[in-house]
Amino acid sequence: MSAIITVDNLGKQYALSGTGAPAYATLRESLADAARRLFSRAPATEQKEAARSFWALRNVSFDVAEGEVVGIVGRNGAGKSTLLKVLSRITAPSEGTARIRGRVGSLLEVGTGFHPELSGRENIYFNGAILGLRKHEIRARFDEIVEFSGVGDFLDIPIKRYSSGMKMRLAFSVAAHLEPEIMVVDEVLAVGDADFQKKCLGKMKDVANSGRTVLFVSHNMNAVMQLCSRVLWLERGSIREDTRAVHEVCGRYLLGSGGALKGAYITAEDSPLDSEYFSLRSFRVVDAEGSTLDQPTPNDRPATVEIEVDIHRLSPLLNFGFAVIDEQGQQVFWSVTTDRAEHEWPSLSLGRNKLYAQIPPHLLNEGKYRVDFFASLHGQGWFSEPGSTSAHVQLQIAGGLSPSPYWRSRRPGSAAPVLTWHAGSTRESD
Amino acid sequence: MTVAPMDTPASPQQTEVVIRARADHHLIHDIADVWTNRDIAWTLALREIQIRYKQSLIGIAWALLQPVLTTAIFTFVFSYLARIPTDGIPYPIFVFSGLLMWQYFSRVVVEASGSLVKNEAIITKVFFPRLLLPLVPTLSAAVEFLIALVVLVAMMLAYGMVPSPLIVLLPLILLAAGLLGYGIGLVLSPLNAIYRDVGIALPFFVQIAMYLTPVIYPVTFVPPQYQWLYALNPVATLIDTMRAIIIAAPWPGLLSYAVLAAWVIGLTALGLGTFRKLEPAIVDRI
Repeated sequence: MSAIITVDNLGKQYALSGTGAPAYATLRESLADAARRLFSRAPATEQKEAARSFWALRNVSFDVAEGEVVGIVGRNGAGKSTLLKVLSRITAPSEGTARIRGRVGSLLEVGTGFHPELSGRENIYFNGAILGLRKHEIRARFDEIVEFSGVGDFLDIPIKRYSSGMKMRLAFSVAAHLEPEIMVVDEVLAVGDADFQKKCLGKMKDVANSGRTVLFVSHNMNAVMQLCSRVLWLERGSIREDTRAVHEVCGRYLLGSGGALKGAYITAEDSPLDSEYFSLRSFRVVDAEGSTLDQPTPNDRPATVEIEVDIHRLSPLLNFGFAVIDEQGQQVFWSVTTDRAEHEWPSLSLGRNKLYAQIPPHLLNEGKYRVDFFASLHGQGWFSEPGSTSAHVQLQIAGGLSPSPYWRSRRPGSAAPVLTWHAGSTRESD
Repeated sequence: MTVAPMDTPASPQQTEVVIRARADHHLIHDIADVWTNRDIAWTLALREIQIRYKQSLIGIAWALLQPVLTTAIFTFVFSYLARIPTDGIPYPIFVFSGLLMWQYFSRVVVEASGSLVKNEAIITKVFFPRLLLPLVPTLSAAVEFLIALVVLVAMMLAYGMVPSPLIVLLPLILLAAGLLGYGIGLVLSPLNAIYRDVGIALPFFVQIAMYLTPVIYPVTFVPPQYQWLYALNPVATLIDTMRAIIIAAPWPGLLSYAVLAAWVIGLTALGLGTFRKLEPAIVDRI
């Protein structure tokens, strides 16, 4: 058995102070509280409420083999960070055990322990020591750390004059050069420019390739897919899925759930979307017969996006539309009612309106997509923006790519148009 | 980008750690953890010293100036004005030797008590034994003690006094003072994280305690029927011992040392108990 981490029935309970009291109190408050409790018998239930607690993590068990790169995904509050904190020994679990065979280097927040008054050089030594390196080990890696961070010219000025980007590069650099057997990284990629993110990912790949174990929390599914050989999907403190089918699970995570596709957003059942100008009634993707698409549809058949609204007030600026977003969270395209010349716009009237537009066949590639409803007053502002909180439905394209005998499986790219090829000599002079 | 060369990882079996609920931890493991991570305590102490003097104009000279100025004022007030007798020892030497010890002890108490709150950003993000944090001031304050000690020796030479060779025993006294302060810090630092009042009230009580300790006056100045009370004050014993070593003042009695030992052991035990009980909750609350 080569498990480097063995987590057995781990749980972490936090006390909830029902009133949202601050983390610290004054002695006076505590004394007053105690006195109040002494003299009144009534609020026994209130006390119980105050002593209420919740499990941030419960019944979590898994093994990680040496050299595995495990992505930990889940919504906010699913327990990802708590799990990392327990595994890096910052907080003790309330039940269960975790066995760890090796040194853990954790990077839970960039810039941890940096002191603003001290120089970059001094902070490298301090940060290294705090993360578990001996002085001679830091000295041996010092040049490498500085080179990777790219802040070499600023080593002797206080950290407080660093930009946040510089600070982060330096912190990541120190943590990445710890060379622990196990590296625990929480959301460092959420900050920093694209260049640096790429560098971080590269470094984590190196760490992984050298046989070390990496636990990696991120909301960036691209990074998880690139880096991880396994995904733990946490939901409400427990493991919802533990799988090596990384691409598949990331796709489902992005779409929100497994099972049938959500092809219709009905405001009466989902949440309402009202404004001074209109109320949304439904937002759907339908097939040629007008029935909701809740199953994958082949690419050679059209899918139609249908918006039903009650219009309360007319304005030439009022427009509706939708955005198509792929599994990686990339927006593929937007379409708006006012995309064409003015005389070709659909005419809106007070009361019920049904607006629809067809997504032509052979436009999107195979895959799952999210279609987001949006509406705005042109140039004035959004009623509803494309994004995770807006009304959205799902669309899955599967099969029907092309009648060609050579084009049978999904090709890379978000679009899969079938273009017509000609033979000729029109550009021979080139 | 360049691929950084990696050493092969050390055999992971060397360092198995079992993470379990706090109640299952043993004191002996916690103390062993402190020992294996002593580098961190040194690093923190050095950082403390660096930060303290980095931005001050006169830098490390401040460590000298503070006790010297205090000595000058105390000499004026208590020797020149109040005429407190000091058993034939020049008052500046007498008060400086007491102040050194007192400042070391009080600094350790105040800073150790604030250590958890002060390092909040670190303890919620990185693991290392928290028991180290209140230990840091015992080290950083020792540096200032040593600097001031040089001044004391210089002052003595100026008065034509030669320090006794027993001065080599000073580290022992410092150790006892450090442990006392550490014990108090272990009790107060988690309380301070929960009730910020502790940090506000503490300097006041430390100030008062100085007057109950023979820093500016000798025990012999106290009416004889109350002198036995000073045997109960562990810091009084430490200061008297320091004076006995350095300036050949009378040694405290054996009873005083028994009481001192009881304080050191009792406070350290109480401190370890309190700290270990409260600390996990504080990390979650801070």
